[in-house]
Amino acid sequence: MVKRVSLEKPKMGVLEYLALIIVLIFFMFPIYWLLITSFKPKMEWLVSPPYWFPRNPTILNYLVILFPIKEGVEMVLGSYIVFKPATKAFIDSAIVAGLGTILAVVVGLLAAFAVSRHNIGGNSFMGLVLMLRMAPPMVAIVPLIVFYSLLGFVDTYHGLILAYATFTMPYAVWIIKSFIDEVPRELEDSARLDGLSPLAAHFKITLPLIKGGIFATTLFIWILNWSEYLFALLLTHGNVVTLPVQITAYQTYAGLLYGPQAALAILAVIPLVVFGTTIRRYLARGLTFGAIRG
Amino acid sequence: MTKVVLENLTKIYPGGTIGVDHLNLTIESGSFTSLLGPSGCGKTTTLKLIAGLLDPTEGRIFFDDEDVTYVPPQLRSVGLVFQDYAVFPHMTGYENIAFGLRVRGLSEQEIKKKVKEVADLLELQDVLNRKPRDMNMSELQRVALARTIVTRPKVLLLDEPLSNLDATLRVKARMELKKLQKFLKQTIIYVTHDQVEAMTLSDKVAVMDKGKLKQYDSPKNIFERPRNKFVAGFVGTPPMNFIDCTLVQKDGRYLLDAGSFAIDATKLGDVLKDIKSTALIMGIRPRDVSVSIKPISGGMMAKVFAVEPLGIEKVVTIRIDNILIKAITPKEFAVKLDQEIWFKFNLQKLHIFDKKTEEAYF
Amino acid sequence: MKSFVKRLSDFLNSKRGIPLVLMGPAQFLIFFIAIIPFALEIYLSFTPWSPTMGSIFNSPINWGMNYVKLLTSDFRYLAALGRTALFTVIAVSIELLLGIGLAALIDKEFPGSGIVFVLLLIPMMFMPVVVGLDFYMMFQPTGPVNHVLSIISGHPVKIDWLTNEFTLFIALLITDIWHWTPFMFLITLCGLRAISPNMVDAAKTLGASEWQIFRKVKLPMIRNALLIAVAIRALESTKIYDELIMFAAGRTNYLYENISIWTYIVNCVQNQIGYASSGALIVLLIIAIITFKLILKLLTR
Repeated sequence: MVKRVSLEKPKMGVLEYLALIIVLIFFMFPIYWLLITSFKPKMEWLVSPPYWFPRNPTILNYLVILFPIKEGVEMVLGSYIVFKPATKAFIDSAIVAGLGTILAVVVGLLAAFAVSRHNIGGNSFMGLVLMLRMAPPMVAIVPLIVFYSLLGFVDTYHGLILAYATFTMPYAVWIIKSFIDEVPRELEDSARLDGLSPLAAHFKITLPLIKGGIFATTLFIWILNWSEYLFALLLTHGNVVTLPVQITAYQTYAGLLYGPQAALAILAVIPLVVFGTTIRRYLARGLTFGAIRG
Repeated sequence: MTKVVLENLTKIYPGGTIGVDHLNLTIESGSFTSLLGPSGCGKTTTLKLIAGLLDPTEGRIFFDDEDVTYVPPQLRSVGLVFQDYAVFPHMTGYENIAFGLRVRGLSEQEIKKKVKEVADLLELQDVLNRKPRDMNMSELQRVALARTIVTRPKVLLLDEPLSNLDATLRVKARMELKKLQKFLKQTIIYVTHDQVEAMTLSDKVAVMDKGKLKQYDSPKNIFERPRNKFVAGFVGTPPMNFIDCTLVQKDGRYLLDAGSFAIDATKLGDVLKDIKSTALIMGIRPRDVSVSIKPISGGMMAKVFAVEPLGIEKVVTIRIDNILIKAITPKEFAVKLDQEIWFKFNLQKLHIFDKKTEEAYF
Repeated sequence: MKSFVKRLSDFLNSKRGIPLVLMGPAQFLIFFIAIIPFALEIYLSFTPWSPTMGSIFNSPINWGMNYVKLLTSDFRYLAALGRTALFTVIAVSIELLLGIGLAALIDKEFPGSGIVFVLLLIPMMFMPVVVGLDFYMMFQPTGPVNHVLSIISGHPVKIDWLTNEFTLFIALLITDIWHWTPFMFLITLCGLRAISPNMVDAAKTLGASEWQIFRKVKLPMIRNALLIAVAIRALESTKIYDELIMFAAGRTNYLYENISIWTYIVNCVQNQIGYASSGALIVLLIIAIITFKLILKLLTR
């Protein structure tokens, strides 16, 4: 007896496969475009009609942003900027994003325990912290620039790190709290009966159980901090340079250096895609402040 | 009013687990049939196959004479009530019940009429305007039932629909269900692991284990004439006593030798001649074991091992060497542990099973 | 030394110590990096202060004149507010519809749907500056967008997307849709997967077709998740900034001024810090009201 259509699986019609293909092309094409642009030599950048595949692929763009070679100078000959490799930007971004993230997660973790296990702050704290994140960065930056200049924090690593930690900490609090809430109180309570102090109960009993969640939260917040542009732009003037700022630095009145910019963009984005895919199970929870436990 | 025939129905899940193993079953139109068995025996799988929610690996399903094996569930006209009721949380009772009619495109007037009919039948008038979160278990169950009945399905499939109700409600609901079925003349297939439920409600019971059909018969026959050891041991509380034995001929008499004692089974006559193998199991229900403090003629001696008072009666476990046998006694029967008493089996109710195949000879 | 550690540990674990050690760091950060600047901002919003006027603390106070001006006669500001609101409504609506459609598609679990799922999440992971750069390049007159349009329409298309406010708006819209539809898709899919299969099975046996089930059973059941996703997305989309900077490519005329660009111009280009503060605070008030509703929803889970 020949088996016909499966009853268990919903059918995919031709239209649906077509829609799927169109959608995939739409979402994958810009990635493809960025990638090939990073391998195009200068004369292919503004060719019309554009080349859908580089005719003379080159890795020069990548080399130029990483090492101070003469081709870098040649590339910008005739324009207003001096070409500088982006090595400092990688380092600065790593420092600022890394430390900012660690600070945010640690502070957020402690606060999450406070709200979840000790009822300190409660709903008003959670709400306040959410507002912090929801407020447009522009609203926050206006006085922050002034405040930082009074403190001498402008264009410093610590200034930027503190700002990053403060404004991503809300994510840490909400998300980690959602993980702590899933661990029954009774585990800590029985440890307390065995003589453990409250803090020890938090760190020895509950914390190991939410390790995965904390790891995912850390990567999630790191992604946010690595991508942050506005604060970095307005709070730094060259002593500290993060990748997003560096990417825009290759903008000139004469036009953009498509190749190197694309190359830098690809390099900057690779860790984001790698980490993002690693924590994809937690993305829904992260982006909705723990509301949706995908 | 539909007859359901299952032919060689088999379902093997990806990964190799066998859900249903070559099931052959004919369910008469208008009957109340139970699928009875322990967890994992394949009864829910069978139900889902009949509903069209699973693909059979092999075999066919017929409604009356129509092969519906590959007909999608939407077109099979089956009613299915889950254990957790699955009542749509965002709709009122009315809308839940009307759902099956709405998707078929009936007019609002007709829908209103039919919903009212069913609501009256199941006493749901007050529930129609409420949402599921404001309903109790019994109301949810009736809404789930009403939702299916209103579409007049060919077959009604119920998956342990009463297990979420507390004991008193359950008994009441059982009776209501039976009345309903007779009234609607509905073919019902009822899945349960509760043998009392299956035995009291059904016209016929299909006992299943590990995907296989063990026996399909009236409740009376299931109880009195189990065809294999599994059915014999599954149905009946307390469960049947099983004692390993061999068939021995001695002085022209047939004896069932259990080692520590022997039962003279000559009276059972010709049946014994057909028993080819020697390794056997005898089965006797506790109710058919009589015990007495005073010697019984034809009886044997044993020691009291345990006594469990059950209110109206007692379960006394006796011991001969290392064989334990349970017997039911009236509550006045007073014995002490290790006391010597006499017991006797009611030969008419004795069952004999082949030790290897577990099939019943008797 | 040991007794010091013990005394410290006892203190930290005490009724007074616990709030200090657990909540203290957060409160410190919030107070210094958020509360104090915020207070400063409120103060500034009542002044016409600009760095050229000397010390902040000696600034004249113009008592709400900023607010009056902003709300009644500053059409540039009001236009920025309007553009932001309009963009948000259109972008989020399209992203919602697309997201639901995609989720419905992936929910069917066809062979390869796992890989497609991951691929569809990737745009969301890109940093906004990179997205801005990428689409800037694609919307060039010599870029692939025009090229494809030329092929489809038959004759050469040479739209200069980023030099005209209307086409810039469209380009920005497409950019945002590319970047954030995956978010709506993800949340919707999570919601769909949370629906108990028994509900769907029940609906099937009652005769509902796949489409009917989707419309009448699945969508209503994920209403809450969708609301949260829409609220979060809407709030985030008011802050678009990075992409617009990239689209402007060094020009000072940003063409499409939403509220972020407006604030940037007034605050950093014109140096009207006081005025910018008032503009920012009005926006904050509006956002606060919407966030309040979101908070209620999130906290009642």
